[in-house]
Amino acid sequence: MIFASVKNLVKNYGNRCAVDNLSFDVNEGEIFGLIGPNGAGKSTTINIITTLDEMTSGSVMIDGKDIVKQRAEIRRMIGSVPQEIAVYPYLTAKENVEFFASLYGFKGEQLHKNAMTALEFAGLADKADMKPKKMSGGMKRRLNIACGIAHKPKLIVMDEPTVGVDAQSREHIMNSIKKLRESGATVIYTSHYMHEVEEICDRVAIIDKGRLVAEGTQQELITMITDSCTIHITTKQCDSEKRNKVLAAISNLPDVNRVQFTDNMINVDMSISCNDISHVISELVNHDLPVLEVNTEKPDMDAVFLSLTGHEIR
Amino acid sequence: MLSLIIKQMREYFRSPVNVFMGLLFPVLLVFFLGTMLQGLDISDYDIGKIKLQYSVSGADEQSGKAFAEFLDNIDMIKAEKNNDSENALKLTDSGNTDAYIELKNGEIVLHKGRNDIVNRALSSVLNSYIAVSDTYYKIASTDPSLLMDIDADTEKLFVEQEGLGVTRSMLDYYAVSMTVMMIFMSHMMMGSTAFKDEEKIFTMSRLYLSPLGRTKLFFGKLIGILPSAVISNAVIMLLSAFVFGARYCDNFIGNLLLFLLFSCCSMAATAVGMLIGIIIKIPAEGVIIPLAWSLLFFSGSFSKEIFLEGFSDKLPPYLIQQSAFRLTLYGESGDTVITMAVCLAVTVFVSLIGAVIFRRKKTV
Repeated sequence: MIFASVKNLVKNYGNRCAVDNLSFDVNEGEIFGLIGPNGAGKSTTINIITTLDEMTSGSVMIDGKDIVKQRAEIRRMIGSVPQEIAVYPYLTAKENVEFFASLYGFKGEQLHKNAMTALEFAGLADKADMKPKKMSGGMKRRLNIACGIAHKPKLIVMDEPTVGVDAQSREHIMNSIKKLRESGATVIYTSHYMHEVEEICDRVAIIDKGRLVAEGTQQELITMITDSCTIHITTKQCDSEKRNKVLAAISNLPDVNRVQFTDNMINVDMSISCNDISHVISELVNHDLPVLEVNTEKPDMDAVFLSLTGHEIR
Repeated sequence: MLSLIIKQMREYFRSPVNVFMGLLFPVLLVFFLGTMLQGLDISDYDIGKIKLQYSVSGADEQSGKAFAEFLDNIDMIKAEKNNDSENALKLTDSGNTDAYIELKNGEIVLHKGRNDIVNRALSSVLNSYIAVSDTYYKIASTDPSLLMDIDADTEKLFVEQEGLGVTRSMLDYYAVSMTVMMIFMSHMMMGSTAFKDEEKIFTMSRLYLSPLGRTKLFFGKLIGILPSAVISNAVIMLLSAFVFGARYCDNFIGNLLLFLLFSCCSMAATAVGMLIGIIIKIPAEGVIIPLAWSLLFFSGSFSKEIFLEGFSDKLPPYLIQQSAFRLTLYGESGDTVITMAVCLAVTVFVSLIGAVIFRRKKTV
């Protein structure tokens, strides 16, 4: 079910076109990645979706509501986690979260409960009375997330929420975002870090120069640039007769496009859609060849981005 | 709105910079300026001892003696007889003596010196003398026996000298002017940075995104700042009074009215600051500090000696100070009430304009 729908979105700043006829859909309960280099139009798109900015033309519907006509209702269902740490340095973590939740009408016990739930979610329950100025960068980032989700929004928009954090905090944030999806929230996530997008996003839209370059699951995007991946299998050397037998056997397997056997290395080009290589391994075992090491060379999102846009993301 | 007010107060009172600059620093200034400048508080109208020369000619001996005795009995006058009128006039002209008085053929001629205030004082003294002498003469010519009952004790003070109950020091002056200074420097600044500070720490986008709406957000911030401003006024007044002994009004109602006056002024200054803050694009300090300093400087807040006729008395800090002084010194509340009404009107007018502009302001 489509939760957010962006249709023919255009945003001009004077003569400059920041977003050019952009369209994409975000399904309910998914993590949708919005990736693109600086100046691609990601932030402008996010600002329009979150009602911070106005579009020049096009339409944005969230949960069936028009962003222009039902702005107030839409604001109630959106939670924003900006790229910058947007918290008050002299308020404690709990006071920060409570303040932002109170703007959505929460009061008393419910407000306290929501704040504590958000802090627990961000792994800061034990730091509720700590002020942000005494927190590490990672903790501040997590507090930033807690402030954006305390009012239990249906749609959470996260703009590079892991910039400048340590590995441990990044891991925590990644798991938290997955938990948000499990709890039924829809997440729009932007990042420069492709491995994060690969790790958590169900679907991805690539934006460049204000235009949509591609949209789909990671598998769909990879398929756009190549139809094969290469498996490198390290085994032991054998005579040419055995080598030919193995080559013939593997070549006849489904999804295999091409096979090479040099010294102790077998390189198998397979269809990108193949998710199982056990039948290839079985052939080696059947021919009494040991499998010492297996490496898969598959295009990642960086390669997808490079191939589709002609330049790297940064 | 309530959460905005609580948030504003927490932020204000937890910031060491705010606490020092908004509360402790002004109180310390009240004390230091008040005590250091105490010695400069010398009245412009203290004429000190009057040195004069006099001569008697063509009058009977008794009249001449009475006149000399009269001058002699006045403490503030040091009279010296000089029958050389040319010399006496020369001394008066050169400023070596304050005046020269001639008692000539029953008439008194005052040759005025350089100091106008001394001249006026001597005129009054001599007019009184003539009036008394005439009375004596009239009584003596009708029923001389009546003069026997007159107490001729010249040492006795016939006029009880009492002040107006106004015995104020520089400390008291700065206790008022420093609060006015804080209203224009600190509270106007608080208003102007209300949204800019939120932009600086990136929380503004969260506020915009909330379902509060622009108008509520504007008034929420304005109302949110007020308690901090009012508390800061109260702290300055209380610390100045109870720690450093500054005096405001003599009664509770007067002090309450003074506090309300300052509160209304803070409200207007905050609203004006907010309007400036949302109009200008440069950092608010760049406009507010020069503006507030100029207003305060020409209003005599830094020194009561600074006053430009026709200009200073039109400036808001001057008008506020004057109404505060009228209230503290003389208990006159008329100006205070008018100033409060003007401040409330300014607050309503300016904040409505501010809210309209803020509603139309682009978010990004």
